Amino acid sequence: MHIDPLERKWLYVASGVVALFLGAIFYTAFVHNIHPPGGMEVVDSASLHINPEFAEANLGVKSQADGSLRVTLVAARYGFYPRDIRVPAGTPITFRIASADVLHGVHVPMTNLSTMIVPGYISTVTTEFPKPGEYPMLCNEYCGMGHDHMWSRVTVVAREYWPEQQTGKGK
Amino acid sequence: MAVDKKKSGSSEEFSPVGTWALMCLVVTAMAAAWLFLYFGVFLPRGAIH
Amino acid sequence: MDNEVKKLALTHFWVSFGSFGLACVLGVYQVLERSGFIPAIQSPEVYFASVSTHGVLMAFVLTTFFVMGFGYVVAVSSLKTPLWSPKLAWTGFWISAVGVVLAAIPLLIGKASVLYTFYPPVQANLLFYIGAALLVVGSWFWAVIMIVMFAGWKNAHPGETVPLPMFATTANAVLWLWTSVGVALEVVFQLIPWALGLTDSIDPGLARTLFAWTLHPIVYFWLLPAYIALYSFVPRAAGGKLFSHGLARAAFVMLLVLALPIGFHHLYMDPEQGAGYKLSHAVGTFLVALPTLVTGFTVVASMEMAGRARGGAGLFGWIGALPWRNPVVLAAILAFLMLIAGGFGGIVNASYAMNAMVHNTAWVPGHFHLMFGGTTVMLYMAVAYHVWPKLTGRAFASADKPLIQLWSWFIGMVVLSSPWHILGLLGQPRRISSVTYNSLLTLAWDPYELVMIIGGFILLFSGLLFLHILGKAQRQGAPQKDDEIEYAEYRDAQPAVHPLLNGFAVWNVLIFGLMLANYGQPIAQFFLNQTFGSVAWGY
Repeated sequence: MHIDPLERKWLYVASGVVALFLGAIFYTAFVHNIHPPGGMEVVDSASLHINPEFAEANLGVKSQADGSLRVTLVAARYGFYPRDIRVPAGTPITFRIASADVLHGVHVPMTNLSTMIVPGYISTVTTEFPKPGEYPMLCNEYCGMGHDHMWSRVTVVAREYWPEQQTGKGK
Repeated sequence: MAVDKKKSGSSEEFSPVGTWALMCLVVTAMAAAWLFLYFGVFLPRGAIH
Repeated sequence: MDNEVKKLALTHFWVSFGSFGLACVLGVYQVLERSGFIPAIQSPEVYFASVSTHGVLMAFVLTTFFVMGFGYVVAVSSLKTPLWSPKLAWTGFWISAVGVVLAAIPLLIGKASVLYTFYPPVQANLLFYIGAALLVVGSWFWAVIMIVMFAGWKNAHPGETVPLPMFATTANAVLWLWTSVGVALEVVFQLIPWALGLTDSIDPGLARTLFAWTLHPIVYFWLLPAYIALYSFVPRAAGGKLFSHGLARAAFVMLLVLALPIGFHHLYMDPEQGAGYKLSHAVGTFLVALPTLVTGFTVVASMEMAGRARGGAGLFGWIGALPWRNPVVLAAILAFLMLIAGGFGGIVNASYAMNAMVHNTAWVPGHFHLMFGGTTVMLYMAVAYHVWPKLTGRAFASADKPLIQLWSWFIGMVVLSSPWHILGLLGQPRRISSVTYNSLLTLAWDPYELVMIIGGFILLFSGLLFLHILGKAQRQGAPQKDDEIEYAEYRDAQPAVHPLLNGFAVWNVLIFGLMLANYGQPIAQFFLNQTFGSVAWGY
């Protein structure tokens, strides 16, 4: 097949740019552990109320033995429960979220906390909030007529003002 | 640059230098914008896995 | 071209463009409602019914009927053979048309507000699922006719090269058969039995995986006719020839093969699939950008050839020398501008973990309105302007109106989609009918909503002008005899191509392998592990 020399050069340039993007993605994925959430973990969404992890009494912000934080939430029409949480800035936080009804999505604007919440599966995502402030934690997947109103509040406090971490408050 | 080379098998002498320059401009701008979004916006919003 | 084919194509095009006009009206209502500036029209019930209908009309009806109608035109005019089995073609048309009507009834009365990606375990009226299935089944008739005509021509012309437009159209038919399997499995084995009450529950994880199978290649099913217009109409309209024929065929093959095994970029944020498969689909997603980059070069180089022949000098002088008043050329230039911006947005979406920044935000409709509403629909319009006089036997009355229409479509799309991208980076969700978050962050969103309303009205004007131009030409245009559809010549005299670029057998085997590697385990896991289904929910 005859290819014009300049077009051949263009093929190299185009491939090079694609390789640059993929290179950055692979580098940050395997060196800095930057990945999307995921990994199939099933849960019976119809019985979350008696599930040891997702029963009401066990939801909220918990300190882990290694100093990291875990936030367990139930997404249900129309909110993320508990609806008001406080977390520290600049700290890795693992969110574990299950849906009690339909599809939901969670996003905290201006941060990378984002995951789909699919009934029957547990969504696990670890991220950190860079800046203190009060953020809406909003549903970004159509879930019914009240979807617009599905949001909860996340208060990110500066690390030096984070006394709660010892007591497990903030649920 | 292969600007002046003649094309074998081609009936007319034509080298798409304008296209080459234009496409390189476009793809360079794209790469710069992508690198800015990835390292300047996305990653500073918090590591994720 | 015989009259039967003209009638067949025009009927398809009117269903396609009529749906498009209605969907444009809904679009304007949506930007108005969503802004919250007019409290009297606030209604999530009407809004979500409207969004569902807008999506189905634009993405399924406009596209499928256009692709079918254009495919028939390309087949008979590029192969110069009669249509194989007009009876089957009409059967396919009516099955699809009945499907559209069946789906439209529940959509319009708010009984199928599940948006165009179905959203189980939210359940729609049974008629919606049956209608959607029939629309797809009807389109399979078209795909089979294209493949039969392709194979028939090759048998009758051993050793000859199938003309590029028909090679690409057949690639699209093959692509569509592979593509539609995912959604067909979901509708037939999951949604319909569940809506009938034969099964109590549905696995939304499996449903989303099957839909992802379809959701990426379907956009290439819509896009390929636009690329056919770029390769086969634009060089000739500009006054030149197609710059490189071999690479054009290679690009279509790459689009066919690489568009399929990459659907998980729609599931990056989903819990039911793991990071490994997401990464492998990400690699494929980046690779499928290559044929588009090749297309950009080849078509722009074809235009450069034309511009230089018309006296354009210097590095970029040929751009000004192009015939900007030719609707096909103008549409191509404007489509390329939107393709650059939309393609960039798509690369951001595709970037694996970075998807978290934009997933389900307003960025995403911004992206696909540029790529689909912008690039693809703009080139559908170019095709319409090119073939309409030949199909109707009547010329356009005004040379200016099509230009005004194309420019306004471009301006409207830029005005509509730029704020969407910004809102997305600010975190606004894509599928909301109002902003109720009691947060200072969201106050910054208001000015962008205002700009979007302006964009919506410009697009409505342009869409209705498009229908007016076509309707007026067909009813009142001056009669014209020429009904020969001509395609761009190749720069080199018809070159022989490698057999791999003249058929699809080997590529089908490769696709099968890639699909098995990329979807085998991800689908099998739902049957190998215990999973929990969901009961049906209203909305």
